[in-house]
Amino acid sequence: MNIPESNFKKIKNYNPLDRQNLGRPNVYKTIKVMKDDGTGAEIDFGYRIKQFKCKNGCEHHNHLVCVVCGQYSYLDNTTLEDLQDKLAKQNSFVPKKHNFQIYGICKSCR
Amino acid sequence: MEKEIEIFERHVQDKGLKHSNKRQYVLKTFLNSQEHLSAEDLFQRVKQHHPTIGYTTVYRTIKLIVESGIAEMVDFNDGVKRFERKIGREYHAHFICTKCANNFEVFDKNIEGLSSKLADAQGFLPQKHRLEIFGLCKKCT
Repeated sequence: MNIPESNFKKIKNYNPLDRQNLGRPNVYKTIKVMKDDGTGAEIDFGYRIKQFKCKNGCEHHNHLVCVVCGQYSYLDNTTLEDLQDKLAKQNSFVPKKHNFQIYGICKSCR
Repeated sequence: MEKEIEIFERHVQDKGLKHSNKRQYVLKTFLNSQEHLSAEDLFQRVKQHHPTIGYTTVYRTIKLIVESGIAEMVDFNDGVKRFERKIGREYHAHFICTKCANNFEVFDKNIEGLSSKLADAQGFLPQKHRLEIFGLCKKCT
């Protein structure tokens, strides 16, 4: 699929209400291309919250997701990686990547 | 299973829907399975004994099962939405083999402890967590 280079730039400043600038189908198509070629990743937080992030140069994060406002923050990776390695070793599994999300209510929504 | 059927029937009633034997059969098939089933998997199982139950009925019933809190969706990053029983089950992590697509559950109390610790550190009130580990299983290494 040929997607104009300018779309990738416009997508950063995309405003869903400003249809003259870039249409919604263009955004979805470009996101699909980015997902397919590995430059972007879709994170499904459940609760019908899906976010999309650029993977280039970013390290993997685990998330704390608020089920009230949908905001998320990053978690410290090191402790989880130790636990992941321990569990994998116990189950004769070679871990490559993981998804870890905690759902709950954030400070401001409590 | 009685408890789940009761919850499901109450939810169906609250939604203003009538009792249906077909829906209940789909629910029973789902509850009898110990695996992570997709809507398509469930449909294939239901079809073996009840060929008159269509895919749409199965799909809509799965949606009702999730809404009622009996099951939840699990995502193994392969584009297929699978469902697993939630009520009466302890928290567990999922290990998914990226080569043979085999998946299994791991129960460990440390995951919950870690989750509470990490959430507390950010003033977050945790409700549930999800851990999926992707890699290679014993057979594929």
